[in-house]
Amino acid sequence: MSHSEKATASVGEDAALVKAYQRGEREAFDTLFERHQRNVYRLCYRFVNNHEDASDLVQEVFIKAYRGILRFRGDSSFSTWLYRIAVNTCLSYRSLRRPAMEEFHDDKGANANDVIERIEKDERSRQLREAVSRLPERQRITLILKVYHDLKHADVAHVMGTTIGTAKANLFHALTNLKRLLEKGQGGAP
Amino acid sequence: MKSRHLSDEQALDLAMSEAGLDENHAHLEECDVCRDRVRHARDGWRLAVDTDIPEPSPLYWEASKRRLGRELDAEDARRRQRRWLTLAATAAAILATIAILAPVFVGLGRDQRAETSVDAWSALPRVEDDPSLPMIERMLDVETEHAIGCCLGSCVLVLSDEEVRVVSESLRVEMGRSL
Ligand SMILES: [Zn+2]
Repeated sequence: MSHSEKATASVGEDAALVKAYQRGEREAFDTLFERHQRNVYRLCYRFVNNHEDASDLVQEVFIKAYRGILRFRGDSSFSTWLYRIAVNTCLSYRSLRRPAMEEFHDDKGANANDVIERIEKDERSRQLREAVSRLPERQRITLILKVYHDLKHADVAHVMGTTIGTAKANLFHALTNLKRLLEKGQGGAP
Repeated sequence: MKSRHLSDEQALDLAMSEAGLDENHAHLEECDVCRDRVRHARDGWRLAVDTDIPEPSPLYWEASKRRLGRELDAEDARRRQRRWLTLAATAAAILATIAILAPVFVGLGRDQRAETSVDAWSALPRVEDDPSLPMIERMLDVETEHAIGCCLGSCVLVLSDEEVRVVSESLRVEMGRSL
C-alpha cells in the first residue's frame, strides 16, 4: 500500500470512528485518542518545548475534541480538525515555562564515539527546539505543521484559518528567522 | 533594469524545490538579496528537519490515556448533570406555565360550556315561531312570572339542596294546578 493509499485508508477509519462515537460508542473516542495522541503531543511539544506543558496541552486538546465531536460533520478530515483544535489550544496557552525535562539515555554498552555523537546530536536538537520555541507563534505553528507533520500548504492554511499565500509567507519567515536565531546562538527575539 | 524582488511565497517555493526556478533564474542571477533570502530559507529548512524531540517512554502513553479517561468520565458526569438540570428547569417551567394558564383555560372551558348550553337551547324553535307561546301567555300573567323568576334566581343561590328540592316540588305542584 502506498503512502497516499495508507493516508486515505486512515482518514476513512477516522471517519468511521467518529460516526461510531456519534452513535454513542465511547470506546470509539478512546481509539481516536490512541491513534492521534502521539502526533498531537509532538506538535504541542515542539510548540512549548517541554514535556509537562505538552502533556497538559494534549489533554486539553482531546477534551475540547470530545466536547465538539458531536458537532463534527466531516467537512475536513478528523486529523485536520484535530490539528486545528491543537493549534488554537497552543496559541491560547500561556505556559508557566517549566524547565525542559532532558531525555534519559542508557549508554551502557555504547562506544565512546557513539556517545559523543549522540550528545552532539542531542545538543543540536536542543538548540534547535529552543530556537523554534522562540519564533513568533504563528510562524512557529506553521513551521511545525509543515516540517514535522508534513501537511500540505493548503492544509496548513486551513488549520491556521488563513490563505495559502499567508501560510507560505509565514513559513518563509519562520525558516529565515530560525537560521538567524541559530547563527546568533538564539539571542533575543527575531 | 532589475525586475521586482521575489515574493516570500516565490522565495519559499524556490527554497523547498526547484519550482519557479526557470522564470526567476534571471532575477536570482542579478539580485544578491533574493539569492540570500532563498538560501537562508533553504538552510532553515535543513536545520529544522534535522531535529528530534525526546520520545516519552511507552508507559507515558498509557498513563496519558488513563488521565484522559478520568477527564472524560468527569466530563460525562458534568454532561449528565447539565442534562438533568435542563430537564428539571424545563419541567419547572412547564409546571409554572400550567399554574399560570390553568385558570384561564378553566375560565374558557366554562364559557364554552355556557355557549354549548345556548346552542342546545337554540335547537328549540325560535320564540316567535313557538306555537305554545301564545298558550302560555294566556295561562300566565307575564309580569308576575317575570317577578317570580327574578326572586327565585336570587333565592335559589342561597338555598340548601333540600330547600331547592322542596321549592322545586312546590313549583311543579303550582304549575300543575295552573294547567
Ligand atoms: Zn531580488
